[in-house]
Amino acid sequence: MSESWIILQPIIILFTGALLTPLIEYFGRALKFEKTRDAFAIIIFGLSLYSLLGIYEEVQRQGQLTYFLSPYEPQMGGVSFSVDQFSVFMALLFCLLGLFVSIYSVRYMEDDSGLDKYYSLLMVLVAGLVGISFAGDLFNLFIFWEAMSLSSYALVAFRKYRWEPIEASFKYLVMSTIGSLTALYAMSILYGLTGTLNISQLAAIIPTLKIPSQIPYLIIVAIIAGFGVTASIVPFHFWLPDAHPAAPSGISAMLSGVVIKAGVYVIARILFTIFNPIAFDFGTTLVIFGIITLSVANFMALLQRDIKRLLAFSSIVNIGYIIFGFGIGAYALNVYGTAGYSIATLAVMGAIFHIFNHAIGKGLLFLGAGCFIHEAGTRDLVDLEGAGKKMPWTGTSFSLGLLTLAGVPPLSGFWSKLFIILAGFTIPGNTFMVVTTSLVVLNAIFAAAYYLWLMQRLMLRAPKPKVERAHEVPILMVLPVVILGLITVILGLWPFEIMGFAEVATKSLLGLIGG
Amino acid sequence: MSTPDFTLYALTAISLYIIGLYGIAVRRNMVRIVIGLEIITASVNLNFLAFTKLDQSLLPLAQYFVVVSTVIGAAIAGLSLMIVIQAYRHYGSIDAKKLSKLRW
Amino acid sequence: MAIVPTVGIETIPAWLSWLFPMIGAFLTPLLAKINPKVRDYGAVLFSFLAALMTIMLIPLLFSVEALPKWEVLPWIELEGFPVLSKIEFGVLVDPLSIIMANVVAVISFLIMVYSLGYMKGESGLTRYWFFMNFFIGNMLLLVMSENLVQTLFGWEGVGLCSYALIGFWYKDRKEDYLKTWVGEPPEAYPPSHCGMKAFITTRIGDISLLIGIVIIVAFTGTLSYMELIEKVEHLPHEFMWILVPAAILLFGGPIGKSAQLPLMEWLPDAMAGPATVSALIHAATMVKAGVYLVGRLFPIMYVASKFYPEMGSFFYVVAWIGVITAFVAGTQAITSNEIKKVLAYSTVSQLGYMMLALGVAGTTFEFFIGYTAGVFHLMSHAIFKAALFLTAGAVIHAVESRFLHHMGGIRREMPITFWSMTLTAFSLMGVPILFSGFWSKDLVLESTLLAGQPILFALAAITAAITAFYSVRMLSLTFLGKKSKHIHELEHEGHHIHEAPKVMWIPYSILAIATVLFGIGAITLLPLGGFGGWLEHTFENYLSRLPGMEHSSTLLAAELATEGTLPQELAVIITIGTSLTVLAIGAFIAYKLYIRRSPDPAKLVGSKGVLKSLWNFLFRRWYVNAFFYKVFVYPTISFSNWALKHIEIGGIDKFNYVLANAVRGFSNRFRRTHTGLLNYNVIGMIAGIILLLILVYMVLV
Repeated sequence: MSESWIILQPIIILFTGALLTPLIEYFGRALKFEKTRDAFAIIIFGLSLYSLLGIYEEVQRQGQLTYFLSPYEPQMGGVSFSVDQFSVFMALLFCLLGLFVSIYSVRYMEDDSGLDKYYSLLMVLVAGLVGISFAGDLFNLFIFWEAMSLSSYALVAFRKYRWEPIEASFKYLVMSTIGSLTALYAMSILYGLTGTLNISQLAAIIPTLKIPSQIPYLIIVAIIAGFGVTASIVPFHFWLPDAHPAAPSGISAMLSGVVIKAGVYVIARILFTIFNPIAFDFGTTLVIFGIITLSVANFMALLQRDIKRLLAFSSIVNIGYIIFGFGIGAYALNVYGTAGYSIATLAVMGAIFHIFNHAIGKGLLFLGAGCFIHEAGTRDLVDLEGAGKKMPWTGTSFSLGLLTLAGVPPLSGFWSKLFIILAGFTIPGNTFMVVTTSLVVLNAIFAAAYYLWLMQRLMLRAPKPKVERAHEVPILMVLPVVILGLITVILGLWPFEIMGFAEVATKSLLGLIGG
Repeated sequence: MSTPDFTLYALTAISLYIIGLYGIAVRRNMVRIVIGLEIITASVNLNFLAFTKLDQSLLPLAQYFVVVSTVIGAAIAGLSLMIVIQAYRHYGSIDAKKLSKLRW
Repeated sequence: MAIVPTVGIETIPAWLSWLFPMIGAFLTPLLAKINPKVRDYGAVLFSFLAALMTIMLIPLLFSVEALPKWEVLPWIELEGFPVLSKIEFGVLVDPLSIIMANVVAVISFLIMVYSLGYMKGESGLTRYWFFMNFFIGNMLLLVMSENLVQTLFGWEGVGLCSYALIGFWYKDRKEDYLKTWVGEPPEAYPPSHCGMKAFITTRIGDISLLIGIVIIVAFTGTLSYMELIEKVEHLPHEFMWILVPAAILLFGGPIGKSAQLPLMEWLPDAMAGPATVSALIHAATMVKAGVYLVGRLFPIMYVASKFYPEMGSFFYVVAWIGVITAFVAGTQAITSNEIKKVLAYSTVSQLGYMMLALGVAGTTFEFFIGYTAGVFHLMSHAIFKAALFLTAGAVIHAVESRFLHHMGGIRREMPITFWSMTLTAFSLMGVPILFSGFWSKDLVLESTLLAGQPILFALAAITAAITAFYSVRMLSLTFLGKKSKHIHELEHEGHHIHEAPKVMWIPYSILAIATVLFGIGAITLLPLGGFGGWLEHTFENYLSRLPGMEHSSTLLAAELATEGTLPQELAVIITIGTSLTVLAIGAFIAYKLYIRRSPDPAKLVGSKGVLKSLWNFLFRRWYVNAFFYKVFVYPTISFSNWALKHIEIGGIDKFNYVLANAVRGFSNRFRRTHTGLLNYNVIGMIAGIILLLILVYMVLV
């Protein structure tokens, strides 16, 4: 392990950007060019993405990277950052989506006021997200977690002159805070027991503790419940269908695409790394909660009339898949010991790849929905019928997004779902795995119903009156949508690169390579 | 003077947590809900400190954690109260039951 | 002595002969984009190239010792596959394929030229040219193929083209009833129906062919014709019994494709297609594919029969099916009311003759006589039947109807057509000396006598009489006598009957002259035994050099010597005498009925009585067609309607609706759990935590 301060670069860039944005706004007003801050935001995101690529290469070369914030030394469990392939994977995803959303927001948000605060908050959000993925110890993680959460509360409530964001944001805030505090509670117990919050040290110490075995499980429960709120596992998900529609569409994309993934990431990181799945059985729990999440969200999604609310429930469904994937991996390791590594790799790889796919797909869908809403002025599905015909670029990309989430080959969503389901079915003798995986398959088919139905509504029906006046959106709005659609198609046809990346990420998560 | 031992602190922390959660679950007044959040924050902080009773060496870092956590708690409180005020402007009351337009 | 495949330049024309039309077919849509005329002439050009290639193969016929030219290219290697080690792709050039290829290619070219005039002004011509060329390519592929699988490709390809071309006027417009439909109520069928009928009926034959191929492969491990001839001698004796059913199953394909009983009913109804299609596919080429396949399989089965005498029953089956088909179809032609349908029944009948010849050949020592008879009759029938169909097409165009009773007395207006039709009809009837039909048909009859089968001979002779009868009937109803009311109506409207355009009458007059030339050629080549004799000589020379065939002289002769065959000269005399007699009888009766009109045929048959029932019986095609419809077609259609109503809509769709409604109902109820009240949501969270605790602690316990 080496000390590499380049880990901090993206975070520093983003925080600096967040602080500077009001200044830039002022300059922009002076120069009479309104969009300076937008351009600035895009530059900042671009720079952070660029530095992330640098980190990616470093990690590829050296394995894991670590950085310590002095004066506390590792033995004392000081504040540290540690980056492995999984972290880089997530951070790249977060930044990429942040970039797309900021490009999108240039035109989408132009009618709103206070945009300097918007971009600032967005940068803080992404900074928090990157910090979460890079965090090497739990308290560091908590700090960045809170940074992310606070900025997201504010962003949901951005259009405060309407009642909906306020109501949604309040509920979001309350529930999410309960969640993070519960998690912090768990961290406090962990700290008390082991004296450190450094993740790798915890992983080493936990097996050696002489404590009644109920205590670690209590901690696991608190972690799942706590971070599960943001990760929108049922029954902690009630905020999501309110918050995601209420936010401006770019923020919805961020929320659905990446913020909830941060929750999943943290659960995975803590559970898999600190609590060895072979010793602790949390796989069963994850699997069951995954199935519950899937089914509940599917039933709720079926009859929604608001397009963004439907997409919000669909996000919950996909989180269900991901949690299920991680759960099957943990279960396999627990039941079969080291022989289960192949199944676990497949399942977790599927889950990680699905994180990526869903982020891309849902980002695409929310941005596309934003385009439709921007033009037609309504969120109601029945009024939006035929919008895809009037806006072909948006409509096609939107359909691609729907298809990839439905798991239709040759789009990328197909691959990730395939892996998860394959992993579940590898051992036909294990009834638990087979039964739960069949339920997943059924749910996937169920979900396809409303995806296709939505696609049919938008693309194949005659345009309704409100849509009649719609025309294709400005290029800056459509561009991210189309690019995301292309990404999903290309990765569907040639998934091997990203699969390799996901596989490496999996291996480092499961502790199969390097430090 | 004799300091209370770990068990007392730990139990208090848990009870505070439950009380806070109860408050959020049952109270309809939005301000009381925010207070509930703060109670939970307090319980977590207390829990951190409780463990230092078991092992003195944990103290420095625990203090750091508690301070940061308090700051964050304050930020949350501030933000949430701002939202409560905005909610009052929209709904005319601070009854959480009124915030039920988003449902099903 | 085994024959091995070689690679050489002499086989290049064989490859190109089927490649050119295939390329032409696929280029047709592109050419159509340039210019319709370019497309038309381009299509004809490609068929010309095919004909050129096959003509280039003719010199090989004169140096039989160099044949066969056999060339294979590796295609699919099946390592580790049981029984079959590879499937290859190649050409087999031997006298049979050379003759057949020339027949196909040259006549196809003439028909393509005729199409330029006949199909002028039709819509959908791109489709037409595409399928015609594709057909020629497939047919030549079939002819040139060196193994059973490749034959099957060509077989299926021509089946597809036949379906598409029969149903060319698929729109089934009622206004075109007089020109494009076929049959009369209750058996009137529109073109699309006929295409489907042809396809399905031949499919049944194809399935049997496929099963036969599979059995052959399973027992011999090879698909190539040449290799089969060798392998079949070395087949262990206990497996020999499978060859008979395999051979009969293989023959199922020709039964379908060459419209023998019981799968003959598609051919008369295939007349719904344009006359060019009828000429090409249903007279000259595709229906001959069955005969061709039997000819290809002949050496294999013959060699087998010398080791396994029961094999002879295969040949008997072929012969009997052939002669019965010939007889039945001939009788059906007597009462038909449409000009093309008469020709169709006649085709079926003549195909029966070819099968008869080939079948009978397999039972004798001098197999080459029957073999030659079959091939010679194939050739001469192709020429004159194609011409007959083309002239019929010209007449239909002129009179704007397909029915014989709408024609009559147009001899003066269409002289060239009249003479072409008459010459070729004479060839069909077997008018002596000048016409190739006489020589070929006589050779068939002779071979039956030489095989010692008097019953077959008698049936074939009676059929010849019937052939003469309906040919004269057709000629007189079309050209002689008084003009029909229909024609008078046409002239009243201003459409006068006139001769066909040059591009149409040149091809069929060429064919008419050809049939005469072959007939004359038979005489002038008399020192060689006539044209037929020369063919016999060629085939004997070639076939007896194939592995296994040379032994037949000793073994089979001993076995069949007891059959009591006649000496050749006596057989020739009896044959000529018989054929002349029956020709005279048939022609005379027809002459009396249709030209002299005494007694008037309609009055003779009357409206009731024995003759009327007989007439009905023949008109309704021995009720074979009706039988098939009643037993197979209508029950299937009503079953599928029932299945649609009860299984598809009632069962499957209903299941969908029930499922969807149930889910919706459940979803609607379930939605109420999301109350939107923060307090309840938090209570939900607490419940979740409790659930988590339960789950996790259950694990511990």
